[in-house]
Amino acid sequence: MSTVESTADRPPPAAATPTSVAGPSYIAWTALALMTVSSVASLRPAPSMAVYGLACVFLYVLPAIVFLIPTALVSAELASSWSGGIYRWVTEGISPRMGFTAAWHQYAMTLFYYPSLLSFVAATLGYVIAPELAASGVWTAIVIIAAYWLGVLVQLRGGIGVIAKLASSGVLIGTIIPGILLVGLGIVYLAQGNPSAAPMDAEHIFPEWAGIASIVLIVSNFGAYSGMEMNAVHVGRLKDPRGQFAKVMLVATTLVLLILILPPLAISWVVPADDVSLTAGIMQAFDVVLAFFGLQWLTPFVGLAIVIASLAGFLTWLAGPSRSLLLVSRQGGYLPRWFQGTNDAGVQVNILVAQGVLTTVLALLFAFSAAVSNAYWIFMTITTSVYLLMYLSMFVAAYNLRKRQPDHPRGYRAPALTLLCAVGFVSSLCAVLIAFVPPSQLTFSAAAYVGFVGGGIVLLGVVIPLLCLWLRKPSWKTAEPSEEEVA
Amino acid sequence: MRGDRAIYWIVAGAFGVLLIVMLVAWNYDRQNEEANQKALELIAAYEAAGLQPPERPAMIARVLGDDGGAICETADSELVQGYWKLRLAVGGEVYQRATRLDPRVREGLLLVVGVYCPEKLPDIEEFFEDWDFDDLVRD
Repeated sequence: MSTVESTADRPPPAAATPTSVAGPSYIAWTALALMTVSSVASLRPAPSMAVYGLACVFLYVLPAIVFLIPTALVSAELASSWSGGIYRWVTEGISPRMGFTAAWHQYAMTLFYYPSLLSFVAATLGYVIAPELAASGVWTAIVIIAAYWLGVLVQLRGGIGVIAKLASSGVLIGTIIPGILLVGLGIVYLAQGNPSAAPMDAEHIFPEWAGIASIVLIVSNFGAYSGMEMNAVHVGRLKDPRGQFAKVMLVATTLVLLILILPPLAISWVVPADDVSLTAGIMQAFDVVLAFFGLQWLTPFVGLAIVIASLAGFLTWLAGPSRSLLLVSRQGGYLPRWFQGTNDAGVQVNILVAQGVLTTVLALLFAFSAAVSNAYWIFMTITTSVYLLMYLSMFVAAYNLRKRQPDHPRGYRAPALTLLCAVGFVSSLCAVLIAFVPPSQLTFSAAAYVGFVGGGIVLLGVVIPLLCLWLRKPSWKTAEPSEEEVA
Repeated sequence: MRGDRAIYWIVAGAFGVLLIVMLVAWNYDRQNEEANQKALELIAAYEAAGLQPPERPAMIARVLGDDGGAICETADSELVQGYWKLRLAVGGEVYQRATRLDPRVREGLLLVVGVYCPEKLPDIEEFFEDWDFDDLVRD
């Protein structure tokens, strides 16, 4: 599949020109669709969702209605009308300060995400090579740190064109093919006359009602489709942003739904909900399914594929939010000039290096401090909540832009935009608020938990961006908006 | 473009080497007589606890072997236990949110450890000691 197209024989894009920090190559729309898939969907959550059997379909379909569809359609309209991604949309729709804050909220998601994702890579490799490695802090730290810095190196040397090609290939090899294998084996399992481990009848469409616990389970998953808008920052790299981004969203949405819903369902056909494999993770779940068919020789291939998919997702996230932060900082002078440094390919080298230092420290703490690894799930709760704040800004901005600039040329107009924005805003807000209900893992005081989560959201989502806005200097501005984007 | 091609080759080569290491290191032969016996013991434990056991003993023997495999190798590791807390979540790729859980995520683990590596059972019981579960999966 060709993911990067030469610019030599093509006219410049009609709706949005590449920014001044951009390199010269286009991205094929199919590559951007697969990058979006790798940002949002993976097989990682499949075992923990398989516990719910048929109800896992409900747990993904409801968020698709109240969050995925609003997010996908609204960001399709915004990206096909204004280049630059979230910071530009919120800048135009609310204010430049809120534009920076939204870009920061998106970037903040990645702060704790990389160690979490790359520790999964370490555990997956350990499962196949030597199970005891999963318990080794040295192994975990080495994998996280090496993978991060090698990812940065790839980005610096190759730029977004190479990232697009690697990420789109990675999601194909590591998510779509293993997903098809898993679902295919599940179908064969049933076709052979084996009974489904989880009941597949109308009585099991919904999870058991357990009061507030059921609400927490359902609402917590509203944000499962987070990341659909993230790659819009690269929309200027499409040959025809106005025409192609809606197609990107349509293909990505379809694939994301299939990837998140079908694999856990297939696992639940073969693996009983009481089985340890659903606690032990995706590799053991695959191992069980493959063992049933005597195909365990495939496990190393599946293990490598899943590692490739994770690294593809990592590369995609490495390229997106940090670029948004760079663009908005250049225009508004929100970050000191050093952070705005780029290499010859226009890649935000200094932001990536600064984040690398933080990731390295977090990796060492995660690997060698039981207190940190045991509390890491709380950091993820905080950062996912901060990320959802960005969606609140996005829906407000989209509504404002439709009202204030109704005649602005739009490549795609979302139907019933006001309703979409209202539904998306309310579901995002609910998912933020539900974070304050203690989950099952909590082993200390609920009040302390609420204080920790609330304090973390305020610090990361409010105090840090306010400090950046307060401390910014006109001399830190290194670009005018007109240099970076063309509406 | 030549530089890009070099990156693709290096990445492909690195994954090729990794695949070879994984193919060589993978334990292809975990099923033996003792593993079959342990699998029967585990199924009996599931039934005694009123839980649904995996479909076939051979499937259990192939995955857990005679020593409990990866579960028993790492069950008492604080790093792995922290990782479990992180993984027992809902969401997608980037959005991972801890939530209320059904007790089933604990039951199977306790049974496996009890059969294959009972010396580590206190570690697992201590790990789950203060967790608060809700019945969220319909029988």
